[in-house]
Amino acid sequence: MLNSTQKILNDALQVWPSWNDLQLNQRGQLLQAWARSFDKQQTIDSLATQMVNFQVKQGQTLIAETIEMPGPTGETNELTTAGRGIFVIAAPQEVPVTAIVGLISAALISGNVVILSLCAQQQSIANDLCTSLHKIGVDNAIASVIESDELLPLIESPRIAGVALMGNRAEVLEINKCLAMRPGQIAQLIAETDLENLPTITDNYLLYRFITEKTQTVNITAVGGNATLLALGCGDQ
Amino acid sequence: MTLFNAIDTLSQDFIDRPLPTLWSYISPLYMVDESVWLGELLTLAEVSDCEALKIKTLANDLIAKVRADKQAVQMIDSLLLEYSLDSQEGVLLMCLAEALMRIPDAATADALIKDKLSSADWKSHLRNSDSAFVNASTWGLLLTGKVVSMDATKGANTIKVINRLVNKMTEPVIRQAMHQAMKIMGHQFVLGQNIKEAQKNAKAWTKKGCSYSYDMLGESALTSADAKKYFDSYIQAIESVGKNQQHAKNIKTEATVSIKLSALHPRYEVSNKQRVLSEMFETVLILIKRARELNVGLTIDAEESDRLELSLVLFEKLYNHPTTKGWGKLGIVVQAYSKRALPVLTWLASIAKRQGDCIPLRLVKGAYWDSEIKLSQQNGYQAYPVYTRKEGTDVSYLACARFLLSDHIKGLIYPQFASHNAQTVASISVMASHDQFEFQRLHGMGDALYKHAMQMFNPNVRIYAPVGTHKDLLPYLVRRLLENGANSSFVHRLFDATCSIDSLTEHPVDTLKNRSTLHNGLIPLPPAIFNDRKNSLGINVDITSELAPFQSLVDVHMQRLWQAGAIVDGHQYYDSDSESNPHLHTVNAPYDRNIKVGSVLFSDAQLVEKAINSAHQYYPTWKNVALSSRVSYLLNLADLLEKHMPELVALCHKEAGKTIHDSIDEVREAVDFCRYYAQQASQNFAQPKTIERFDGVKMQVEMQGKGVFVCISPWNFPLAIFLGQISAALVTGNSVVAKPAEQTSLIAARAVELMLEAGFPPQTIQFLPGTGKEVGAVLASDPRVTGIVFTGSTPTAQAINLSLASRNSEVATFIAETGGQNAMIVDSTALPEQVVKDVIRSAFVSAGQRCSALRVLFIQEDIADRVIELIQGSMQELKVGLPYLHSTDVGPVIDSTAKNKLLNHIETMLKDNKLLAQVKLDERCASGNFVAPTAIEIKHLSQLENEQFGPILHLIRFKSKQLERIVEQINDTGFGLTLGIHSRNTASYLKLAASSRVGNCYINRDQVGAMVGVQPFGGQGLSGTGPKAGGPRYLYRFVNQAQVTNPVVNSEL
Repeated sequence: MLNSTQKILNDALQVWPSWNDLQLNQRGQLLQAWARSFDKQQTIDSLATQMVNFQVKQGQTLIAETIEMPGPTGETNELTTAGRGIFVIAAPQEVPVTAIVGLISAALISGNVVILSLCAQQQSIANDLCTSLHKIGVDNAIASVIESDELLPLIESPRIAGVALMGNRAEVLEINKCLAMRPGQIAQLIAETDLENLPTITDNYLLYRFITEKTQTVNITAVGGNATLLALGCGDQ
Repeated sequence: MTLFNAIDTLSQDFIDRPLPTLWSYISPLYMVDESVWLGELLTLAEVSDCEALKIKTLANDLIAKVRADKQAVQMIDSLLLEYSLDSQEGVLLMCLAEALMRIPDAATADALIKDKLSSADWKSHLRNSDSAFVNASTWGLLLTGKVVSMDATKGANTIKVINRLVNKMTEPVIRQAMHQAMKIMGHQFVLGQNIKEAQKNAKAWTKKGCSYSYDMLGESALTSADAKKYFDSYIQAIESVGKNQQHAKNIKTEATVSIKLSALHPRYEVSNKQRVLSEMFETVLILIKRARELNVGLTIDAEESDRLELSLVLFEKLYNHPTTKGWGKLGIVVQAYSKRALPVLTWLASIAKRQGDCIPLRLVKGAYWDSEIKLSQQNGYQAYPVYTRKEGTDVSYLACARFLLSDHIKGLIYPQFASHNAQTVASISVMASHDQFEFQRLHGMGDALYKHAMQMFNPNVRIYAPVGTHKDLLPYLVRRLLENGANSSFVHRLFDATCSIDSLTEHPVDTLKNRSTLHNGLIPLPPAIFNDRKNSLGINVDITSELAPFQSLVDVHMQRLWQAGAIVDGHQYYDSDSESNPHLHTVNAPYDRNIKVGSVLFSDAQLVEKAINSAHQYYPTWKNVALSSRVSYLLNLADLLEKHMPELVALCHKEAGKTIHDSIDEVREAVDFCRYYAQQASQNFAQPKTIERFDGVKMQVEMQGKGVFVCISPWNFPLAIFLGQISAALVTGNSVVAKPAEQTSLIAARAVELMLEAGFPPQTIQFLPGTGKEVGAVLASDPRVTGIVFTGSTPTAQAINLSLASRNSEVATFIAETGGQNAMIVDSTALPEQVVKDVIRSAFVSAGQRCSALRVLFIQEDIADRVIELIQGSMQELKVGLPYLHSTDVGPVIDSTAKNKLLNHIETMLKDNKLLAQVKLDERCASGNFVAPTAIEIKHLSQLENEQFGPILHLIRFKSKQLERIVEQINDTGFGLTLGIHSRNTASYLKLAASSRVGNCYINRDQVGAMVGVQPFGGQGLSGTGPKAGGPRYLYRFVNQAQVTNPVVNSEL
């Protein structure tokens, strides 16, 4: 890949942890501000705004909460979600802006950072989208753009966690094969081939494909006491 | 139904029943139905109206006197009053007291102080208590060294001065002050730091007519060296006490020494019964001999429930030995919270009657209650070994007292009633018709109560006094605080003026009877700890009544030979011709290659095609089968697995080389997967959902199976993961082609047979044993496959992924759980003994053949030497051998390939790195694939490239300031499966946990044994692909969203 692409990749990796460490609501607020800024852009219609807000809401519903898992006494078990790393949002041909924006916001709300690779005709849209994100305070490296020629070289790097692709069947298979040939972590491939109905992007559980889960278990009786249980033992029932 | 009636124990001839009969009453009561048994005990604990009145009068009188006594609240009482364990400060105080004195380095100590103090509201405790001691502690905790010794009741000026001082404090001063405060606290709990000092401090109460029992602090030795250390301390105590009383005349105030068996041997466990009854037996005999020579009574303390039966066998052996016979001062402790307490007493009385020597017997309520409850819940036992209400224990206590105070027991047993409860003391006094018994209280507690009791009716009183340095104080300290530290405890209510005397003297029988049920409905039984599914059932193999029936069933299956072949459309392809078939593979036991387990006929290409085709054809039908049916098959399967546990355990032993505990856990996990996924599917996929799309369009959607899922599972969890993958795929409406690991096809085949029995249509579950090359690769390249679930190595996962991507078909769903390079980080606030227990288990359980196993231990330099010493000592006590034996800790590795790879790694590492310890293998390991558990010290994580799937622990020392960088290093390996953290500093461990990129983070415990639905299991990066198995989002990976009705059209579109 080009040096410029390598730099984009490195910067994205560098900035990812801080984006990931934000609370989902904080990311959500930024994305909602981004969605509001679409009003001022002619190339982006109100559906796109709705799409971003939708993904943010999905984030709040599906993955924001720290889930307390039930279990034996004396331990706490919490399940949280986090981003996986860098997602490349790619479309070798022209695609609806709503779709692009949907995948960007899905990736970002989940705690990932994005690199856009759209076709030449939509390069300016890519740039506009990223610029408007940066304008509302999101670090430059959290959303960047590469030329479409650089897509394959970029995704060959095992440091890319996944690709969200809008394209036809042949394009999907090609990207899939390319990803599978890398060493390192298995990449996630989210593919949308029906650009009219957008079944993948509007799937209710889309966000599950952008996340990893983490369980944290604390032995709260390590120092020796289970005061809560003791209280139950003297409980009045 | 119990084998005897509680009330019968009061008859004179009960203890004349044959000894084996009386013994046989004990174990079955281990977890007897609580309400049933308490109902019986009530008849013993009940008092006549006359007794009731006497007790009430006496108790009221006692309490009134205590409350009127200005000096009543002393030392520990006052501390407990102020810092009850319901308060955050109480817990933090305990934590500080426990840890601070142990931490060798200043930086970590300062960090801990800061961590604890910043989260508590210490000031609110100042002046709440009138006790100078409490205020001193609080002041000390407010960080001034000078004030610790100051009289805090001096008034407002004092506070001004103190505030000024506080504001000027520097960290070294703070730390010193804390140490002071902690030392003072520690001092109040022990009678002396050594036996001589203790004896000196004992003079005051001895003059008042009390006797003492010295408890040399220390328990749970992990190494032979520590056991020897404790032994020496016991001998020293005996010598010192004996010096004074070898020829003593005043029998009433003779001191005794209390010992803990767990201090005297590193493997005081039922699994090591042989060693206990030989090595520990000899050790205790030496103590008895010397104690007898010097006229010092010995009392054997009671410890955890699982050790009870073993301790009694040991006691009997000691008691009947010529060294002890004729003495009458070898005592024992019985815990009233144990359901087995009463038959234990009758058995002891009986052996005393036969042998002739009196048995001093301390009756306590019991000090391990909360951990007994926790353990039972974790292990899925049917019920608890202890009562779940405080008043249940109280009733049991009085029932036991009734028995012990019976006339015909006099002289056989000398009861010693341990209590700080005025009601109990009064009850005992009234119930007793003779005075051949004593009360016991703890040093520092109940002073006022017993001062007045002795004035009122002159009972015999003995003080149980801990002796030792602060370092050994922890377990004792914590138990005392726990027993008595809750707001509802007697101690609290005694000194609470708003608490009426009547409420304090209510008879436990009345309290218990007034409850809606005798058992405590607030504490669910282990099978019911999940409110939406049944917990899998476990077996407690340390309890005879549990083990015996289970073991006999397992033994039958251990004699079997199994046969298996592909199961396609419900037909199993194995017949008499198979013997000469080149695809036939003999399965031998990993622990002894001369032992045949059975044979497997691997699948040929035809069968593979048949299976895929059938699964593919049937999928549309299966997709539309009602969810409730799919769920019910899964629940049937769960029940069948439990029913067939003995056979499955035998298979785990023979085919996979698993130990008893691992085998039971294996079946439990499989059951849990079935029930959990069944419940999750029912909860989430039963009804279509109405969702609103981003554009406001409302739709009704349904989650449907995707197609054919290939399930490729590993040999290390040959039943649990095998079925975990399959059950997730099936319940969501996919059809399955399952390829088990080559090494463990027999148990997998058995599981599939049970699936068919459970009702799964034969076309939905196709079973294809075979090699990765011949079966796995074919499946991974077939276009009809919609998804693959895989658990195994990262390289294999990549190969499968590539194979799937090389097909000309829809992108497959690939769910992969792969390897790890799991670490544990330990700072110097951690308790070395706890750490080592968790390290040994995490690294060596299952011979290290778990994805979650600990591979790299990061240990802070300041405690590294001590921890290494303990690891070395612990490893010396590990037994490697035949996995089906209870005494085996570590079994074989799965095959010779694995063995050689691991041995190569060890050899390579030892060229440049230091060997810390290696377990010796004996000749029993010669015929099998055994790798000695090994610990190696290395310098840097980068020395390890690949995961080594075996019992090899690497250890790295770090300096405290390097702590933050460690997580970075771990993240950089690219793996991210499990991480363990051992630390008392909450802020620190939360920070480490947050910055670690792992799937499963465990704090202050071991890092293996993830439970389904409690700790969803899976990793990130190189370790895994997303929502985790055993978690609430997993099933979504197996379904597609499909619309069910026409959308409500949004007019704006």
